[in-house]
Amino acid sequence: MKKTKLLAIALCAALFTTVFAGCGKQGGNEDGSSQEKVVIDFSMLNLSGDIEGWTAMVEAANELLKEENIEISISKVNGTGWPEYYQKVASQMAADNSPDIGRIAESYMPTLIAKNQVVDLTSYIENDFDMSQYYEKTFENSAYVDGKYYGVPSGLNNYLLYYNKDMFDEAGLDYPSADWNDPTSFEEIADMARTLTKETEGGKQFGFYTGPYMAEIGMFSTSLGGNNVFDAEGNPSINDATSKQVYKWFDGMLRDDGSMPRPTDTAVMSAFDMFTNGRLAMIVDGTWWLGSIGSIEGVNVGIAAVPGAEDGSAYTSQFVDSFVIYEGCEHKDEAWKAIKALVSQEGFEALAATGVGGTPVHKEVVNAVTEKLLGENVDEASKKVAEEALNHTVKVPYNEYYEEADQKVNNTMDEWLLGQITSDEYADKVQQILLDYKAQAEE
Amino acid sequence: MMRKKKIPVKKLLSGAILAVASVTMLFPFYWMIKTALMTNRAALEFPPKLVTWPLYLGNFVEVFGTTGLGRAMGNSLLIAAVSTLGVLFLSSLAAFAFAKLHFKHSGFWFGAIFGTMLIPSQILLIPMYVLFAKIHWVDTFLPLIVPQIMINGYGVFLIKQFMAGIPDSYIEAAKLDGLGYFGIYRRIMLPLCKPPLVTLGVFTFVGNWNNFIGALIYIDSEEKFTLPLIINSFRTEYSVEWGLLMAASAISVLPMIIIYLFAQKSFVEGISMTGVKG
Repeated sequence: MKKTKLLAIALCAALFTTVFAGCGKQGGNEDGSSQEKVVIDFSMLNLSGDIEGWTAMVEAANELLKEENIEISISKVNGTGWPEYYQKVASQMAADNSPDIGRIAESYMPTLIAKNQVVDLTSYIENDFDMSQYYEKTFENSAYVDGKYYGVPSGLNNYLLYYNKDMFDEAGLDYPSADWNDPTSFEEIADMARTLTKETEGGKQFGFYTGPYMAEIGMFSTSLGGNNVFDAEGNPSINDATSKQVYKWFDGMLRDDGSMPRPTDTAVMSAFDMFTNGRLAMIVDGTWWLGSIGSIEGVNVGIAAVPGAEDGSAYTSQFVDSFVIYEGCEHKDEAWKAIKALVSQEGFEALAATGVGGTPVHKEVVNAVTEKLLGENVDEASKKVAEEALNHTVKVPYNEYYEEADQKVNNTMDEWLLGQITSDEYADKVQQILLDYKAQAEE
Repeated sequence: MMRKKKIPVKKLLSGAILAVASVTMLFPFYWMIKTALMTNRAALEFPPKLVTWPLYLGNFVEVFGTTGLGRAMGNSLLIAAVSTLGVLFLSSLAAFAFAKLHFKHSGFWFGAIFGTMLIPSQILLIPMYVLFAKIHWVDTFLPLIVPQIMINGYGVFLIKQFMAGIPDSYIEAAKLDGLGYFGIYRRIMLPLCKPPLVTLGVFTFVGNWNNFIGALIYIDSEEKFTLPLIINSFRTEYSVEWGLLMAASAISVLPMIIIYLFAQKSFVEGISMTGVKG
């Protein structure tokens, strides 16, 4: 008995000793050189599939920064997504413990800017940056407000139409259009989807899928000449006639034709997994899947422009994540140099070699990534469509309340998708959610 | 003449219900282990197969070899063990005082401690972070351990409920034998309170083992990452590496299963006697 007690006490003591030995902030930043090195703390969402790419980019940047005696050090945030990343950074900023720089999703930029949590980079960009090396349009995302730049694009993603060539060949259908200025129309896509939908031994084969989220409704509505979620004055307009037409298009495939998987179908296997497993003929989804498309086995994939108006062009929503300097940074000039090194040709080349981060916004690197990601798996025409998309992007109209409203809209979506309310009723409901958030933001 | 044996219908029925319930509970575990033993591509095959063959061990090799899972397990174990010991000690000590020492304003102080359970932890997250940053506790294990040990309304309540049911005559007799209050607590009350202590211990350990948000906010250095942080990294921005995620999850539930198997009897007793579930 006595021995047991002694052992328990010894174990407790050992545990406490180990805990406290593990405590305490890591040492300083000096490397022993005579001149003090400035270490820039780069806060980054750590997702296992992406980390290799961003680490390679940071290593390439650090090579360029050696002469300046600056080093970028990565602080990984192991969240499951951007909300957790932002929560962590916001806590750090509240405690004056902010990281110096970071990479964050475009949807969070309006909040960061409104709360003065990021540094205005306009003077740096105007005086110390060669914009001509980049796709300038990509800088005009939600990090660009009232003529001021608050972020530098870390890459771009947009939507493309991926299709299964074998299914089209088997059904005797022409492939969807690869021309962004003469895209396959919404009606034609619905017709194709209907033809391609059938029962098979492995379960139902669906014709078409795309998420009916606000970003998609907005880009399709833009293609039809309508508004992109908001009107010119910034008022929500997602229940106008054109947007309702888009919702009706979804409705036809979901309910009348049964050619688009419902939430009950995608609960077990996501729509993209259905596509890669030969259960879905067409999917409009993001360029973040290019790596998966490039390594897909057993499915002959083609890439086309997203659906558009009959006599018009097609538009695809762009998502531009940004490098930012957080307001609490104590070495802003060095932080800017770090960001410049990250988005250098060398930085983007290192990132592109891993296939991470979407399409690089550096003109010299843009082609490399499609080649790297898609390899031999898709034909040249498909690669060209992916590259041409950069000239047909529309900005997702993020504002201070878009992200929060979007999450609420998505949470109520099943009501419509499962047929409890009509598409018109749902459009009105989404509009009301947006109006409520707008009123709240204006209070 | 042979007597016809009566069929125990009730027994059969309850057996069948329990069997269905067991399968329902165990099936997700089976699916987790099965997915852990498959490549990501095989895991997504349709229609899904109930049995997988050949078994693929690469996911386990990868999670142990490249992700720092072993170190993260050690960190989680340390935090969970120290927190559990601390919570058990201080909560039972406080519970003893509230249940058996009738001091002035004890009702008020018990209410105050119990009231801490009503404050959602999310509200405290940023103020607590600011406080811990000021005392240089960020990026240490201390914010994950100390607050819950110092005030644990749930633990105090759980053990006090049980201690209140222990007759005061035990304490009187111990006093006559010359025991002080700490001696009574240690020699009389603690041994009698085994069921609620085990229940609280299991809940505290599991809660700490799975604590994601606290570790996410307070821990910065990779070498101090805990298990939930590592498990959450097995995904890209748009997809999940199911094989790796399930392999890490399978490893992470093992200690829980072992602890529950050892403490099962007292755990069930604790719940039934105190009427409190986690």
